[in-house]
Amino acid sequence: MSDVDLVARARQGDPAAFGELVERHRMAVYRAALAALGSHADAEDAAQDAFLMAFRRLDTFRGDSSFKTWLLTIAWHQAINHRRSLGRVWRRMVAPRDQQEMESVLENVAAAGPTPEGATAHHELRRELERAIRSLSPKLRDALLLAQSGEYSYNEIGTMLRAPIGTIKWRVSEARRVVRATLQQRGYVDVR
Amino acid sequence: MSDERLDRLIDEVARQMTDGHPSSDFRARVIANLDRRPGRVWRPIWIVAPLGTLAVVVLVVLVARPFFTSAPHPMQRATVDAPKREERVGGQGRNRGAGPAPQPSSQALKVESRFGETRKPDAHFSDAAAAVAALAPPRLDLAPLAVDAIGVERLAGEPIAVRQLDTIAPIAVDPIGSR
Repeated sequence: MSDVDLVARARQGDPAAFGELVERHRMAVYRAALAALGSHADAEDAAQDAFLMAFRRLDTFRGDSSFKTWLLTIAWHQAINHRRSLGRVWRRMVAPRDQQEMESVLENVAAAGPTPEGATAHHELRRELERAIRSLSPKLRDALLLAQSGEYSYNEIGTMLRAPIGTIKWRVSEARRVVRATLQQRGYVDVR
Repeated sequence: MSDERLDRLIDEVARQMTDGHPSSDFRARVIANLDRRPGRVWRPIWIVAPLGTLAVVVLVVLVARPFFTSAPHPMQRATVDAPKREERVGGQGRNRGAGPAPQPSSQALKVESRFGETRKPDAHFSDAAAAVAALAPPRLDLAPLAVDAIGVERLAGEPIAVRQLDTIAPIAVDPIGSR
């Protein structure tokens, strides 16, 4: 059954149909929220709010774009609102980063070097890369993270960020360049 | 490390930064909340912003209050204390000058505020102004200075001779094509 059919059934009050839509797109919505917020807990809240808002606005879905694109637009706005909320800014000031989240990300990295020293250096480089990516401007960071998540086409990213595809591609390229420059300044990468 | 390799590493780290899964009961929680009426979402900004505005207003009022109250300025209070100090010294202040101490006129008693407006002083301040006027030195009586008028004498010198220029005879010009 297509998304459009499920939307039609959900409009008629079938919660199971909407549940199926949630199941199909929860990863895409969740990862968009995670790209915007950088925190799993916040991303889960924002994703849930996005689905609830989409359900209440199902009547406004006209089918001009795919349901996924329409849903991602709502999810992205929801995540950005969450990012701008004062409470979140305050929490970020008090506790800059959940250390456990950081460690879990780095554990997943598990860089395999030929020697323990090499693995440690590689691990440190990845940690510094993540710092550099987080310190990017929101426009560059959002484009890079959404593009590399593997969940979205450039068209979908452009719709979410309200920018042409060419602009999105430039932002991704610029984000890489800035991260490279940052690492070179910090002495992690040899300047050739 | 080459740029290409570093770019691949950047992409890999970026991908892992967005790698994750919602909790297993995510779908159930969304479905459970579908019937929940959209109440007003509590946003701290709605509380903090009015409180912050109120705090700024209170601060402004507290800071600006001394400028608008009719209480005498600290400098004015100091002038009130001046006569008492004189009496402790021996009251010589009034007799230092030879002439009578000038009395403060009503014009002199007008108080100019910091904002340039002039207002009539109260009795408390009049006493203080009188005390200040009593400390003033006697007025000096000096004869006006006489200044002679400055005269300009005629300059004596040889007149400058100017040679007359030779007159030039007019040149007759025939109109073109007259011949």
